[in-house]
Amino acid sequence: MSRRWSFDALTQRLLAVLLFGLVGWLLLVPLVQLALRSPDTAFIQLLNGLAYSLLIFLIAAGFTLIFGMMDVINLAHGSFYMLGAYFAFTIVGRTGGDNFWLALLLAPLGVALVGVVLELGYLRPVYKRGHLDQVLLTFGFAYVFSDIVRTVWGSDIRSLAYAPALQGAVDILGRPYPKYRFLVIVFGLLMALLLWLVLERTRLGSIVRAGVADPEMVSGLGINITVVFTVVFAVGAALAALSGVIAGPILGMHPGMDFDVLIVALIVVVVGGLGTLSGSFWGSLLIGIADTFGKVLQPDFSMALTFAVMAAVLLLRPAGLFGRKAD
Amino acid sequence: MSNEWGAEVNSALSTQHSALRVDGLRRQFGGLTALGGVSFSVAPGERRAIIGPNGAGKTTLFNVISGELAPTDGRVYLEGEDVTDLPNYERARLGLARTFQRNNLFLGLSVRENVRLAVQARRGVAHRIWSRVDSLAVVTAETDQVLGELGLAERGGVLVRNLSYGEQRQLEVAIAVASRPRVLLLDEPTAGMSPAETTAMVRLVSALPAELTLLIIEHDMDVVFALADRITVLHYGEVLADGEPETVRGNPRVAEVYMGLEAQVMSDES
Amino acid sequence: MEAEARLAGARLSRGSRWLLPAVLLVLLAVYPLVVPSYLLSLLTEVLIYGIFAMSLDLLLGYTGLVSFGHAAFFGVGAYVAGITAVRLTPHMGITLPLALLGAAVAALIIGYLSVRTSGIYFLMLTLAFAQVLYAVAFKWTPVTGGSNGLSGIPRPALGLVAGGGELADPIRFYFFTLVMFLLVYFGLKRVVGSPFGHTLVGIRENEARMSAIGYNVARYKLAAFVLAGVLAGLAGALNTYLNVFVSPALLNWPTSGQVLVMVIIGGAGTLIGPVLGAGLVLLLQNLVSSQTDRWPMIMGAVFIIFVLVARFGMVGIWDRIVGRLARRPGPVLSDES
Repeated sequence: MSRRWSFDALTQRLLAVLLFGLVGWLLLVPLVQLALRSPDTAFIQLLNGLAYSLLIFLIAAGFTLIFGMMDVINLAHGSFYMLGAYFAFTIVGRTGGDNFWLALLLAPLGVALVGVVLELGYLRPVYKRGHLDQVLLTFGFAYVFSDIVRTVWGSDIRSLAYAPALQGAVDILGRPYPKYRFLVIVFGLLMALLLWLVLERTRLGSIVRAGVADPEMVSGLGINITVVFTVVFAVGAALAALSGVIAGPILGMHPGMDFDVLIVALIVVVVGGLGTLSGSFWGSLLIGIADTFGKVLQPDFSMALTFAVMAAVLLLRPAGLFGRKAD
Repeated sequence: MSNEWGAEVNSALSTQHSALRVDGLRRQFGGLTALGGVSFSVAPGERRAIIGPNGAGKTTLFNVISGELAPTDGRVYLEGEDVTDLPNYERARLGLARTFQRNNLFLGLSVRENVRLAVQARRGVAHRIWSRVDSLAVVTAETDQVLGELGLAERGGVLVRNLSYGEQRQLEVAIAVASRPRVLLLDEPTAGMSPAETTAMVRLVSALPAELTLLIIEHDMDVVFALADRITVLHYGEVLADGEPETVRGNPRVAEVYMGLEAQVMSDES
Repeated sequence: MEAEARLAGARLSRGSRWLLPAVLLVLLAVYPLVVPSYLLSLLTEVLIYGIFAMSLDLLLGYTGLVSFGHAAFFGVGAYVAGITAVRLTPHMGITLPLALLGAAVAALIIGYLSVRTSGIYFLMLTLAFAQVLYAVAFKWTPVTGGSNGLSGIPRPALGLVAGGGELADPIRFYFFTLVMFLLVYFGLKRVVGSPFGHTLVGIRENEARMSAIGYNVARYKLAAFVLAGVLAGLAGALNTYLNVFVSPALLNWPTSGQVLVMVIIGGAGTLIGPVLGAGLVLLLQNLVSSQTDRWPMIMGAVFIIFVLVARFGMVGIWDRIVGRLARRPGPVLSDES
């Protein structure tokens, strides 16, 4: 009785081990050394990584909900992030941060509106055509949005002023930390909690979850699935825009930001598993923290390291950490 | 049906092994146990029907045998060789072919091209990058032959999505048959067919080489009794009964399962 | 809605089948002699991007693999051709094979890691790898010239004259590129008409069934990926020979996006379509860029319009106008992906 192992499976596992080893050597070892040598720095970077992760989570969550629910790959998602930041920039204007709260509210709404127009006017005719056409269409829009931003706001790097109340430092375990970033962490965790609650505990949430599992069934139940689609799309866009507003003061703004963030969000969603919110959460944490420490410990290789993590995860779990194989 | 196919099958088989053997197959989907330890053996040239109520795990069983799904536990042996860890394409190369319950065709291509792809694979010429596809006379001839065998010769140039459902179902079988397999799995070949189409399909299946080992999932009992040498009954992922048609027919537990269903159907109709 | 776009294989009578291509060839041959030099370099560029677009069509149109990182191989070919010319020798007999080899190795590595995935995962991975290469080209200043690009590349030499530069004359280089283009075009035509080519289409149409009938789908995808990568590398090398300059922008996503636009606007799955798409895009780019900076927006808008209403590109439009549907269904682009 012969048992045959697939050559492919063996090479995949071997490669994954090699990649993890590489990441371990380049990232984990210096990380441990840093933690031992200078725990304060390590701790600060951990908090920074956490803040970054939660910003990414907001974007990834929207993307994964849109994909999970509507089977739409929205390559213009980074554009929503970018538009949120730039809308906020205009709203805050020269008031030096006083209008930050206003921007926090209005910018996501404005971008949600853009999202609704996009979904109703252009995506809807294309749903039944399959993934390729959506990818192409949203890519075209990303291109257009990118150039619109360049036209209206110029190509310079800008930063977003934020409310004076949020400036300064707080004390965390006896060490000072920027108040704004700390609040980003708090806000991010609250948003994650809120999203989880809405999905798990409300009627709308259960409709969305059912829609992710089986869209045809849901419309068969008499629920107007197209309205739900538009709502989900708008919420996803708003989340990305919100992230853009919040990130503005920390990460700055420039016309290439849509694409930079799209790449990271896609990595997160792929690593975490498409269509799962918890996948996006843990994926964001993993990639966000790895990326932050990567930039500190191996500035030349941080991007490559992030991709190595992604490649390694995909080799072992082709559908992502929490993903299910597509039917 | 072609004698060369039968001869090929015969010469390839070793008489010591069963054509197909499954041993303790389990398959979990989260909390759901689709297969709870299925074991049976199919002799070369045997016609085995797999029957059971909906949800009994029949298609899951086929998926595990053909390699589309990995079992949670248990082994699959094809002609004595343990193929459990092999991907589905390697099992196909070893002589296993299957059809699908829901048509799994190349909708955007022609009928002829659907069959030709299977023939091309079997003939080992698929990698050829410089020859013209029409220049391979052997492939063309075999494609024509299979189309003829399945009664699709007239429809060769038609796009598959323009075929009637019955014709698509025929093509579904044609693609599998074009691989000249030694073990063939037919998943509900007559599903959704009219009585006339069903009769044609039964005639077709009966005409397959006697040396070919056949497993058929079927709901239509007339078809089962017309074709099967032995019947395996699945219920909730386990083998309920396994034997010759008359024995199974007389089995009280089988009757109970099906009686229960019949009674339900009758009360629904009244 | 049944979208049945066919190849633009118009059913002309036997004799006249050769007429159209012959006329085109004559035009292409005569063109440089009657046209001002900037239009000549434009057409040379169209031929180069035509090769690039055809290579992506092999992946996207025929195999159904949506790659957003095809610029990676264009860039690798371009950089290897440039770097070897600067550091080793400008002899094309050395730089060109090395460029192709570099692209092949890159395609093998990236392909191996990517083809096991599908859909968005594949898209994602190809994009990601291209971005990594972009970052490398951007940062590795001693070798690639960094963000300023690689300049001071000597003109390619063929070893026929002392001092090289045999192809420095734009007309000569144009004809050289034309020959390369024709070789690639007819070569690919042969490939897509072969059993291998039909296998790729089968994979595009129903990958699961291909696997079930005995095809090692991943291996075929990888082969297509590497072939496409090598051809893209060829285009990249030609680009370097033409411009004697390589910029990291060649590896960045807008380049991948642009070639994707060319394929779709031209008509995926037709080989000639992407060439037409390259021509249209480059022509428009030239016209528009001289008037305004807003070319990306315009290209994006044109692309969106095509995706919405002319999904099968210019070839698709031609088919509809002419109304001639080829009787034999060749590599059609199904609208179910």
